[in-house]
Amino acid sequence: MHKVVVILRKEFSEIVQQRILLFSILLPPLLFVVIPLFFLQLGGNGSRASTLKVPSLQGLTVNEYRQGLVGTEFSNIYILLSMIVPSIIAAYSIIGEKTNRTLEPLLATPVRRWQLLAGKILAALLPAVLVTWISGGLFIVELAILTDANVVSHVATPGWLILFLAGTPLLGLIAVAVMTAISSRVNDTRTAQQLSVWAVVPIIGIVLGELSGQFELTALVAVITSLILVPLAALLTWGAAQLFQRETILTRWK
Amino acid sequence: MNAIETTHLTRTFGSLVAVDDLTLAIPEGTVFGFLGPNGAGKTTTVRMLSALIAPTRGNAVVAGHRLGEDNDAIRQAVGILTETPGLYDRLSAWQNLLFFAEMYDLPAKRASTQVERYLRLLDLWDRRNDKVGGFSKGMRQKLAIARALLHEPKVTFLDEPTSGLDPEAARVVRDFIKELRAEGRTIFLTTHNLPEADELCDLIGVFRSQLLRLGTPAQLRAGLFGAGTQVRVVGDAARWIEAARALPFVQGVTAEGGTLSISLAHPDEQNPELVRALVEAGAHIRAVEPTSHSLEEVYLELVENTRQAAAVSH
Repeated sequence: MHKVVVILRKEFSEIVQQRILLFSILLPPLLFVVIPLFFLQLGGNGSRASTLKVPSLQGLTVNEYRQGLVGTEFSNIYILLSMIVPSIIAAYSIIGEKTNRTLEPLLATPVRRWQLLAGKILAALLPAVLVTWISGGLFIVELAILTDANVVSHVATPGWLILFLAGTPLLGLIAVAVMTAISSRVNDTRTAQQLSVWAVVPIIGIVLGELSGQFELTALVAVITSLILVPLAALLTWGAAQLFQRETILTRWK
Repeated sequence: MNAIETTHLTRTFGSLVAVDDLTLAIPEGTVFGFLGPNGAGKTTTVRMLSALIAPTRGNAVVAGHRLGEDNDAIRQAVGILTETPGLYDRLSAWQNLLFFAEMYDLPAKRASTQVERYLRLLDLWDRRNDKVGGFSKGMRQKLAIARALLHEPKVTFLDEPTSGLDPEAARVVRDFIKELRAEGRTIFLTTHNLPEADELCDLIGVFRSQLLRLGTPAQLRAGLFGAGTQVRVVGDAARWIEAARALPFVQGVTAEGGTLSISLAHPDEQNPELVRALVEAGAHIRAVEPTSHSLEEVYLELVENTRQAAAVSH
C-alpha cells in the first residue's frame, strides 16, 4: 500500500504543477455551480415547464416547477462531471508517462502491477469525486437558498442522492478504465479525451430520458443502476489491468 | 560468481527473432559492453534481463535470481538507465530521485541520504530544487544515471549512457562509469560508441540477434586479426622482409614505407628474437610496438562477416 501512496503523492505533485490541467479540473464544476445562479434568477412564464412532465417534479407550483426543472437539469450534470474530470486527469497521467517515456523506468522498479494501476486510478478518481461532491454539495446549498421551500427535496431526491454519492465514484472508475484502454492506443491527450466522450453518451441518454418524463430516478432505480455499475466498473477495471502489464505496455502500446 | 548468466535466451515478436539463443556469463564486478547495430536486439535483451519482458525460450539468472520465478527480486537487484532518460519534467531533481528511491523500497531516511549522495556525486546538488524540465541533456542523463544507482543495485544496465551528449558531458559520464567500475560494480553497457567500449569495458559481446563474439577487447582483436608487432626502421622496410620471414615463428610479414608489420602467435615471447635477427641483418630500428586494431575495426569486421554470411545463406 505504501507504493500506492508514493505514486499518488507523485501524481498530485505533477497535477498541481500543470496549470492547464488544474484549470480543466476546476473550471467545469465552478461553471456548473455559477451558471444555475443566473437561470434561477431569470424567472420565466412556466410555459416550458408545463410541456415537460418530469415525474420527480409533480405536485409543484408553476414557479417551483420552473426552479425544479433548472435544478434537475443541473443536478444531472454533476453525475456527468464524475466521468469528465477523471478522464481529463487520467489522460494527462497515462499519456503523459508515455510521451515523456517515464513508464519504462517506472516499470523497471519492483512495483506490482496492481500498485501502479491503483495509484494511477486513485490519482484520477479522488480529485474527481472530491470536486464532484463539493460542487454538487454547493449546488444543493445554492438551491436551498435561492429556490422556494419545496424545490430542493424534489431535486435532491433519494434517487439522485444515491446516484450522486454511490454512483459517481463508480462512473469515475469506468471513465478511468476506458481512458486507460484509449491511452494504450493513442499518444495525444486531446485525442484520448475526444474518444472518451463516447463513454458519457449512455449517461446523457439516461439524463434526457428522465427530463423527457420517460422514467423517474427513484431510490430503487438509483440502487439498481449503482448495482449494475459495480460489475461494469469491475469488468472494465479488469480489462484496464490486462492492458497495464509490463510486457503489454512495452511491446504493444503505441 | 556470475552476475548474469543466460542460457539459450530467445525472444521473438511474431516471425521476428529479436534475440536468438543467447548464452552468456558475465562475472560479478565486470563492465560488460554489449555492442551491436541498431535493431540488433540489444534493448530487448536488456528488457528481458531486467524482468520487463519475458523470454520466449531459454532462461537467465540475474544477481542470483532466476528470471520468471523471482522477477520482483531481479527488479530490486538491478538498476536501469533506459535509452531516453524518462524523467518527470515538472518535478524537481530531488522529487524525481526521492520518488524512485521510495519505489525501490528504501526507508525514508536512507532514501533522502542516497538522493543527496548521488546528487552531490554527479554535481547536481545545487540544482536539486529546480524542475528537471529546465535541465540540459547532460544534466538529465546524469540524473537518470543517479536514478539507476540509488538503491545500490548489484547489476546496472546502462543503455547508451553518452548518446547525444556533448564531449564534456560524455566525459563526465564516462569518468563516473570508471568510478563505478573501481567500486567493483557489475555494469551492462549498451553502446554504439566503440572507443568508449574499448575504454570502459572488461568484457565485450558483439551482438546481432545472436552473440557473434565474446571476449576482452584484446581477445577480440587477436581473435579476428591475430597478434603481431610493428617494427619501424630507418629507410625502406621492404629490405628486411626476408630476414623476418627466415624466423620459424613468423607467420606473415608486410612492409609499408618504414614499417614492417609482422604476424606472431606470441609477440611478448618472440619479439626479443625478432629484434635481434633484424639488428643482426643490419636494420636500424626506431621503435617496436604491438600491432593495434581499433575495436571499431573488430566490430565492423564481425558485423560485415555476419551480413555476408546471412546474404549467402539466403
